Amino acid sequence: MNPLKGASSRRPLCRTIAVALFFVAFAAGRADAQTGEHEHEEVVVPGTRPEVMAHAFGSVEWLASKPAETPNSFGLGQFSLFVTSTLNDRFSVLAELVVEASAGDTRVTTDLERLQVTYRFDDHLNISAGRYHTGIGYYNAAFHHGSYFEIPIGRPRIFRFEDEGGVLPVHEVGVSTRGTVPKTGSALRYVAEVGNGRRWINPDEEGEALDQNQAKSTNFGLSLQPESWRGLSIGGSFYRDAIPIAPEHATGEHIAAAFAVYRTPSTEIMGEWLQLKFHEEDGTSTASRGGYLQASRGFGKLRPYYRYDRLEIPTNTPFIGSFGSSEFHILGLRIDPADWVGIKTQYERRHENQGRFNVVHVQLVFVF
Amino acid sequence: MASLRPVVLALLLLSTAPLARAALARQQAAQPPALAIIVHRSNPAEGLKFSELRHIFMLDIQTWPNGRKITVVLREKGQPERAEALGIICGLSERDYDRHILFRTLQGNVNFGPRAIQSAPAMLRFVYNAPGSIGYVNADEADSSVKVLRIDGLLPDDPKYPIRRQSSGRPDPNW
Repeated sequence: MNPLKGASSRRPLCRTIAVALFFVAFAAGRADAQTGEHEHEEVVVPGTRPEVMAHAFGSVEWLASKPAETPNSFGLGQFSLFVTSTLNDRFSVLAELVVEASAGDTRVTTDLERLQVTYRFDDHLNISAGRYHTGIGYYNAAFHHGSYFEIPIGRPRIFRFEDEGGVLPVHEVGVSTRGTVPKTGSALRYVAEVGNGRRWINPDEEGEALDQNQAKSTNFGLSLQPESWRGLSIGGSFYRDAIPIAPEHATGEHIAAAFAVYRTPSTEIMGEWLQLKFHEEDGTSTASRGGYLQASRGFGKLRPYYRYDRLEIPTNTPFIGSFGSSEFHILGLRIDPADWVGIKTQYERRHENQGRFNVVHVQLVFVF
Repeated sequence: MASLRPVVLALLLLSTAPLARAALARQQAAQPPALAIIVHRSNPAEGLKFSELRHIFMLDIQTWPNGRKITVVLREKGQPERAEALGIICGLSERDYDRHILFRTLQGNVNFGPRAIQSAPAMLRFVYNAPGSIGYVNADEADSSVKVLRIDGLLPDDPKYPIRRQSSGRPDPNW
């Protein structure tokens, strides 16, 4: 999600052209349906000409809650157009454009979620510039907008996108480097990012790509994926930024994250815990904490799952104090009736500002 | 009689040699056919650990030590040689492998998936022409146009060579 949708919505013509170009690239760039494989009876040496791969992720949903504040309803989820292109052996481009239905009619909003150009030195150093998903914790940079790959419906509360009441700087514009640490046999990986930070003040004003102060956000993360236990990933990250609240005044923002993830085709056990701290200039600080624990196990085409999701936000927290704390229990079943199609049905027991209530949520996800 | 002893010994050896050769042939025939991992002849690599090979086919490792980008070459979807190779090397079914590659692509870690090739001669031709590529053929199909890599220090004609078509063929149940 683009937290600054208002800025882009003032340029409908540009947006329409961008979407049209994206669709043209999408149509022209279809390789194999899912993995981008090309058939090569005629030998084309890789890296000698630009190659494009394109995918689309979509979803259709139905949701009902009790007590019912709104009628049960069908709805369209995000429609994510995802394109990557190798320009040569070293340079590549990635773009992810999300089209969302904004109402029951055909009106849509578009967000350029990611646009990165990457230079690859080797496996140890990849430098990307552009708009990216921050490497805070695990979930954000793993699942992006590909709802097909998420087992439960929706992201954990703490990783919600900015324009859905998210508390984290999920997207940023800047420079991101990532790779494997040498001499560790690909087991130890790092990510280091420098960006503008999230705009908390006047987020809808023009010039979304511009920072509001001199301070840049930084994020550094490490993860260990031991060879002896394939599928396991343990790691953490630390993010810091200074958010301008007035000329010459800023609030410090520190985000610490730790995670342990075990993912194989049949089993998924994931847990993350984050602490988000705002430091005022008078020395006071407020801390919000949140995370999730989820598990699922595949039995053929069936995959039952459970997620516990919690977020604690003190009401006096700057910027996000009004968002409120929450606690969810989610129990569901995913069925994959065919390749690249999934149906998820889940019961949610939610505890939010407005009290406790129950939700039934169904989602059809697909990739093509 | 003493002068006849060497002759008798020689006759005995000659008579048992075919038996020994037959026993060796039977032992080799009992071995499942090996898959030779092939790279371009100019590739400085002489061998890989099995774990490195798996990381390469999973696209976790994407550059050779000399900095050249690795291009993984598989047989086409639906061909038994593809499913078997993915099962042996990656421990994954074709479907799970495809999901893994798309997931890595979505994360921005992969720009282009493996190449798909229709036949063994085409695989040899591709690897011969693409310096960064790595593929596989049945060991008896490999020729001098490509380099066969040692895996865990072993060549395909070694009885302990780990990549054999019927040795596993199916996804690792523990993965």
